[in-house]
Amino acid sequence: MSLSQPPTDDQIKEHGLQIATRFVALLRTGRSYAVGNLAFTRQLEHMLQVLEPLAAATGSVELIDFDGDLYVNGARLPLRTTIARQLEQLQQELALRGLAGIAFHEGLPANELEGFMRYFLSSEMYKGAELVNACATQGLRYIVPALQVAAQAQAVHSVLPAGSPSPSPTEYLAAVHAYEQALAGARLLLARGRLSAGVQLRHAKRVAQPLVDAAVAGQPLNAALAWVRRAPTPAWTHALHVALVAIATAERMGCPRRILAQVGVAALLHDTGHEAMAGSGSPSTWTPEERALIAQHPTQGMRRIAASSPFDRTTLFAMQVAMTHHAGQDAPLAEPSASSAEHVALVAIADAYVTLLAACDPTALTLTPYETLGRVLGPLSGRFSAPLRAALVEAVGVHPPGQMVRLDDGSVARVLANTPGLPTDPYVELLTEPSGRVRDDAGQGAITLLPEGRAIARALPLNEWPVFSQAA
Amino acid sequence: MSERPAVARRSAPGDPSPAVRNLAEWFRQLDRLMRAARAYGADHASVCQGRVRAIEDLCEALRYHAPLVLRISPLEIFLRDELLVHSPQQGDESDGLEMEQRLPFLMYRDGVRGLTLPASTTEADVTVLVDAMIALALGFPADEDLYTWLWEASLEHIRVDAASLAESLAQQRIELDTPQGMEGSPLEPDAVEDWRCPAVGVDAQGAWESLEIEMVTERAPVAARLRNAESRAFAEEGEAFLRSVMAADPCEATRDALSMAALTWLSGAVGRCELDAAERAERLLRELDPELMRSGPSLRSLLMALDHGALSERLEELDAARTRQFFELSVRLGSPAIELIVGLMARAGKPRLRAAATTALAYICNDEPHWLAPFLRDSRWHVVRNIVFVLGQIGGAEAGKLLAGPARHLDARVRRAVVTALAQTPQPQRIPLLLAQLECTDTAMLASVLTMLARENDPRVAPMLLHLIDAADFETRPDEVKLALLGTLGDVADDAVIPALHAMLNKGGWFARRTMERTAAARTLARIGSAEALHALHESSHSSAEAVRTACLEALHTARAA
Repeated sequence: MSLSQPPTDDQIKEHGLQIATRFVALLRTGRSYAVGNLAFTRQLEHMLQVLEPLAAATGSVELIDFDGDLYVNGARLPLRTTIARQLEQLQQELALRGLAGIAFHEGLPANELEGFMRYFLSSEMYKGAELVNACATQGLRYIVPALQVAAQAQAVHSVLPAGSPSPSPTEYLAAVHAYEQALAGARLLLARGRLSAGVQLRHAKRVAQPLVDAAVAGQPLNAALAWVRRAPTPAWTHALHVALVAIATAERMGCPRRILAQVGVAALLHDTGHEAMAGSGSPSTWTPEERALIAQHPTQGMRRIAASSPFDRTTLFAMQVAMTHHAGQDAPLAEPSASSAEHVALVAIADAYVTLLAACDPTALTLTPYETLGRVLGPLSGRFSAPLRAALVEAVGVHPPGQMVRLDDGSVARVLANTPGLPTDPYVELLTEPSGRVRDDAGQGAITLLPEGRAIARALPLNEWPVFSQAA
Repeated sequence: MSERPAVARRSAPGDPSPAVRNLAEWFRQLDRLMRAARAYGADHASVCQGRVRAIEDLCEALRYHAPLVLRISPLEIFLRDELLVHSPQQGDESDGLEMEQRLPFLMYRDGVRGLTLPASTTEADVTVLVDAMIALALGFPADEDLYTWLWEASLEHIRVDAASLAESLAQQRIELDTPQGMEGSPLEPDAVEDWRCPAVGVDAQGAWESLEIEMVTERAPVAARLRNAESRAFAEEGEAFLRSVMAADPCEATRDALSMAALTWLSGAVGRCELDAAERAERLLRELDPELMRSGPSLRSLLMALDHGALSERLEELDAARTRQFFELSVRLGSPAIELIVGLMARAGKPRLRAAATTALAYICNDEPHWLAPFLRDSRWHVVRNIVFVLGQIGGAEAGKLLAGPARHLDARVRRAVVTALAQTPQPQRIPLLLAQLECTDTAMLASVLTMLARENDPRVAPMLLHLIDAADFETRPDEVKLALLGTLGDVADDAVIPALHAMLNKGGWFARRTMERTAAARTLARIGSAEALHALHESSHSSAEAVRTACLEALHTARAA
C-alpha cells in the first residue's frame, strides 16, 4: 500500500492497526515455533511488509502504549471489536517487559527484526533495561525499545541515596549504584554471627564484586565517602567503606580483578574480631575490659576467620590482614609475611583513613576529610610505603569527598567525588558564588566537574564550613 | 560439528532447531571432556585435545547461531525457549551420572543462571569458559565457584547472569533473617575506633606533591609485587603463617582455630587429590593436635562431605605410587578417614582401588574392628561384603562377633564372604555361625562350610549333621549336598551316629532299592571304622534286601582296600 507524503492521520491509524495485529501474530507464532522456523520467518516477512510503507513515509514507526491506548506515530489506534483483544494482548506484552513502546526505523532488515524477536520472546529473561541493553549490545540500530517512564525514573532514582546530588555524570551515578549494591550485600553478609553460620569467602567476593567492577571501570567509587558521618555506624558499614578504599587503592596499584577481590574480602573481614564488642566504639567510653578486648581483636578476628572458612588463598590473606592490620601500631602477635606485607598494608591504610574519617569520640579532635588524609600521609606515613600513600591519594583525591573547598575565584564548593587517577580534579557541588552569596541550588547536590579554568585554592577547616552545609 | 548454517529450517514443527541440535552436541562433548578431566586431571593429553576441540567447536557454532542465550535451571539448560540439555528421564541411567554431577546442576549450584554469547564473542572468551568448565569438573577451592571464576577472568563479551547473593546464601541454607528483637539492638556492634588519631597532621596537598616525585622510582616494584601475588606459593606461605601464629600465641583458642584451618586445608586438598599439599597440611595438623583429639570429629565430617564418586574416579586413574601415597595418608589419619575410605570403596569400579581401600581399612581398624560395625548395615551388598572381607583380614574375637549379623544377610555373596572370614575367628565363635550356614541351599557355600567343619574337632558338628540328614527335607536336597553332608559326617562322627546310619542303610525293608543315600550311609559307617560301625555293616550285609547287602559289601570292600 502506498501512502501520501506526509501520510494522513487516518492512513497512519489504518497502517498502525495492521502493524499492531501483525506484531501480535508474530508473537503468537514465536510462541509455537522457534525463531528461524519457516512459519515464524513468514510472519516476520509479513511484519516487515506492513512496516515498510509507513517507515518509508515518516522515517520511523513508533508504536507506543500510553495511558491505556496504543499510538502509532502519535495517532491513537481506534478500538474495533474485531481486533480489541489483539491490541489488549499487545499492551500486556509491552507492559510485561516494562516497555512503553518500540520504534522501528526505515530500512529495518529482516535479520535485525529476527534478532530483536529473540530477546523480546524471552520475556522471562529480558525485561525493561535488560532488554534495552541486550538490543544495544547486539548493535540493533533499526529497532529501539523504549522503557516506561516509571521504569526509567525508578532506574535513575534507585541508585541515589537520600539527599544525594541529582544525576549528571554517568560514571558518578554508576559508582553510587555499585556502592548501593555492595552495601546491601554487606548488610546481608556481615551481620552479627553470619560468618559462623556458614557464609563462605566466595560469598564475600560477591559483596566486593560491584566495587571491583566499578574500580576497574574507572568509576569514582570514593563518592560514597562523601556521606560518611562522624557518628556511630554499624561495623559492617565501616568494613564496606574500608573495602571500598582498599579496592580503589589496589586498583591504582594495577592489581588484577582476582587480587582486587581478595583485597575486598580481606577488608570486609578485617575487623571481624570486634564482634565481641557490642555497643559504642568510642575510645573515651571504653572500660578496661573493653580495652583488653579491643587489643585482642586482631587475634580474635584471625581465629574467627580460621574457624569458619575453609583454608585457601583468600582465607589465608583474610587471616593475615585480620591479624596484622595494626602492625606497627600495637605489637601484633605475628607479622605479615614479607610477600603479603604490602597487601596487608593496602587494607591497613584504608582502615586508618576510614576509621579517622568517621571517628566520633567526643574527646578527640574533629577532623575534616582533608585533615584526616593529612594524618595518614603525615604522622602515620611511617607505616605505609610511599607508593601506597600515593595510591591512596589517587583513590580518594587530594581533597577527599565530603571536603569543603574554596576555589580560586572565591566561591565555596563541596567535593563529592574524585575521578581515580586525577586526584586534583574532583566532582564538586558549588555552594556559593564568588561574591559569597549562597547559590540557589546549594545543598541540592547539583554535581559538576570543577568549572573550566577554576582550581581549588585551599581546603576549608571545619570552622570555615558554611553553616547550612554542616547541618546538611 | 555445525551441521548447517542458521538459515536452515526445521524439518518439521516441533523438531529442535539447528542451533539446538548443534549446541546439544557441543554440550555432550563438554560433558565428556569434564568427565575425562575428573578422571585424568586437566593436564592429561586427552583432556588437552578435548579442550582444544571444544573451543573450536563452540567458536564454529557461534559463527552460525550467535547470539546464544542460555538459561540454566537445576535440571536443564535452555537455548532461549528450547530445551538444550534435558533432565534425565526416569530410569535413564545412560549417562551414568548422578543428578549432582550433571552440568545443569553444577552450573546452577555455582550461581550461574544464564549465559549470553554474542556474535562478538572472542576465542579468548570461549577459552575462559571451557577452562572454567574443566575447573568446575575438578572442583574449585572454597573461595571460588563457577560464577566468581568467570567474573575474575574478566570476560570481554560473554555475559554471565548470576543468582543474587541472597539467593546463593539461601541455597546454602544460611539463615538470613535477623532474630526477632536483634534488629538494631546493642548486640549489633558499631565500628570501633581502633586507630589512634595523631594530634597533628600534614597538609595533604603538600604531602601529595612530594609523594608524586618520590613514588616515580618506588612504585613499579611495589605494584609488580602486588600484581604477582597469585604466583606466590600458597602452601609454603600458608604453612609458614600458621606456624608463626602458633609460635607467637600458643594458647588453646589459637591452637583450636589453627587446627581448624589445617583441617579444612587438608580436606580440600584431599578432595582435589592434591596429595603433596594434603601431606603438608597433615603434618601441620599433627603439630597442632598430635592425636587428633580435638580435630577428629570435624575431620571426619569434612572428609565425609567430599565428593567420593569424583575422588574415586580420579584415584582409579592415578599411578600405583600416588594411590599408595593417598592410602598411606588415609591410614595415618586413622578413624576419621574410615567413612571416606568406605565411600571410595563403595564407588570403586576397579579391583585395584577396592583392594587398596580394604587394606587401608584393615590397617586402621586392626585394633578396633567395631569401628566397621556401622557399615555392616549398609544397604549395598557389595559394601557389606567388602567390610566382611576386611573383618576377615583383621580376624580375632571382636571381628568374629561382628560377623554374626552379616552371616544372616539376604545376599548369598555376603554370606559366602562371611564363611571365608570366619576362618580367622576363634573356634567358639566360628562353629555356631558355620553350623547355621548348613541350612543354606548354595552348594558352593555349603561345600566351604563343610570343609571348614570337617577340620573342627567339635562335638556339636556331628549331631547337627545327623539332624540335617534325619530331617524330612533331606530327600529333597540335591545329590551333591547329600553326599557332602554324609561325607563330612564320616569325618567328624563317632559311634553315637551309628544307629541313625544303620537305620538309613536298612530303610525300605524288603523293597529297599539301591539309592545314593543308602550307599553313602554304608560308606560313612565304613569310614567311621569302629568295631561297632563295622558290626553294623556286617549285620546289614546279611539283609534280605539285595540293595542293602550290595551297599554294605561295597563299603566293606572299600574299607578293607584302604
